[in-house]
Amino acid sequence: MRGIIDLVRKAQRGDGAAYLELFQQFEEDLYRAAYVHVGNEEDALDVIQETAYRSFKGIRRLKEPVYFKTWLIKIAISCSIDLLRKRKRQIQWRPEYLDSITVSDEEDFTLSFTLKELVEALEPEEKSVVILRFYYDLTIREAAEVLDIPLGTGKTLLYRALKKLRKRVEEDGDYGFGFR
Amino acid sequence: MDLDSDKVKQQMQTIPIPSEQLRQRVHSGIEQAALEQRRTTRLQRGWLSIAAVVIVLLLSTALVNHTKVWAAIQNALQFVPGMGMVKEEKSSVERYVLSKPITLKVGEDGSIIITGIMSDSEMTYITMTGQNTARIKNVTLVNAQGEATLIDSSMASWGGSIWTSSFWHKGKLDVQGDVKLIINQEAPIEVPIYLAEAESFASYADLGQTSVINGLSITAVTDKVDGKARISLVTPPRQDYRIEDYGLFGVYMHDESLKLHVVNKADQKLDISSVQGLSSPRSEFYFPLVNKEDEQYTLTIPEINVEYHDETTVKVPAETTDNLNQTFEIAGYPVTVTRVEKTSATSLRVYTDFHYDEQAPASLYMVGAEESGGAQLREGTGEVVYLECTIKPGSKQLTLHINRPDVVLRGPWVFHFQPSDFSG
Repeated sequence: MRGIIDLVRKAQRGDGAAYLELFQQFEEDLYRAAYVHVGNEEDALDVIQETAYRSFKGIRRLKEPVYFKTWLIKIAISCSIDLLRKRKRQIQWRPEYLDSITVSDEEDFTLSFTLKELVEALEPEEKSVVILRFYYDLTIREAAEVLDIPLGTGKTLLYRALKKLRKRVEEDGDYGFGFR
Repeated sequence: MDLDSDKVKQQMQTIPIPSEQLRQRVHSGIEQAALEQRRTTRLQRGWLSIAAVVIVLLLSTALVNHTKVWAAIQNALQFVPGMGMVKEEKSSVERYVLSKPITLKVGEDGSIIITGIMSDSEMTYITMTGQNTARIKNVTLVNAQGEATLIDSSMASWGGSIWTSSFWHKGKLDVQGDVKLIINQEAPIEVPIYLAEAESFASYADLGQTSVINGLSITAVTDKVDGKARISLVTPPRQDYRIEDYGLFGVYMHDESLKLHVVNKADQKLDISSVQGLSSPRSEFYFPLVNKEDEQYTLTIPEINVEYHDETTVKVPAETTDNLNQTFEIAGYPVTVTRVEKTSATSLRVYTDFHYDEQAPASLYMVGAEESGGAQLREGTGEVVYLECTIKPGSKQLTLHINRPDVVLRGPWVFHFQPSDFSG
């Protein structure tokens, strides 16, 4: 954490190289979160570039370097949602990627959701809550804070997301989607 | 109803990471912010909000890290679109260029302009600009033999709905005869291209009318494109400074009349338009032509803005001090720090006198400082009144790293054109 704080402080003084080093520690996780939101590589890369741009521009306003990671995730989610709003379109999955999606535990039906289901079944805000809660291991209260929504809304979004996922998994099972 | 946190992680880990592209995009985002901040800092110095079109030049990591490539790109930037290149190499080089820009309509209100293509034994370089369309990540060049080469974007810039991009391929491509350029987007656009052999010129003056004022030679290369006059301004490269603006934007806070302008025979100012270019300064612009044989056009560049390659350090007290009158020099121009004023535990105002003289052939009006986040500018001249600097609490002294001296060079550079200069 000491290293991160030092890098944040350097970046706040305009040190781009320090910020690059800092950002690179989180870029893969951010990319994956963006990917779940936008559904394809090109758009996810756009989101990451925009996140790097917005975050470096705004780094001076970050008062507590210790919260850098959460602050960065918040920007990445905001960039993802902005991009989706801008496009005003549904996510289209690349057919070639469908083959690479793996469900590792076919036996445990309740857990056998796929990445595709995660992406396709949920609204952007629901994805944000799921990612913050289960990928970044935030509490639902922390997730709600990151998203600037009331705790109750956060809970509702999460509940709705889980319900949708379950429904989607069941449907996909019925229709026999050919995932491995 | 539960969801296993590990399962979410496991699924998300299946997302493949395009490592190289990811690295480049992160770098581009940070570079863009850094460049914009530097520019914004300068614009904010007047504490005024102005509507400015932000043009950002991005360099991919790959390019920055390869000086040879960068040198090649620099070389390409000296190339005059559609015309050729001033011959600086000793041996003659076979070089092919796109003679005129090509405008393509995309969707209902989108457009893409292929602003230039140059291809020689070393490289192929394509520049493009677009409005209300997605940014183009790569293009495919298909030669007369049907061989396709994918060329990735090497630089990109964007602001609002406008973007520009350049595409660079290292090595020789056979581009003679009928060539196709495929612009790769959701619905690929196929554009037939013919590249003409570029002329080469022994000197800048051979390219067009040249005006030399105060030791600076500016050449105006004329052409006719889509019924409009096109002028490209070129100057021989300099070691000591680089031109920031030929007056198309004008120096911030300077009078409108000091901007580049074109008048007709009746002394009426003509509307000037320009395509957002890839590199600063904006050097290419268009104006409407009148269908009269005896029409005349006069282009006037009252002043231009340059940035010198120089920096220096200055130590000043970190406590309020009147009558300091400490003079240093940057780019050969004297700057006097008249006084400093501590406005809080962490901020210091450094008052300056740039000895600005509107009658002089050139005046320093702006500097940057690593320790400064803003400045007060004087109305009318745009010169720095004071730099707002950050200091460490309790410090006795501040070392200022002064850089990026901006100087206005005064002309006017004047050019007179006849309709025959724009015969196309």
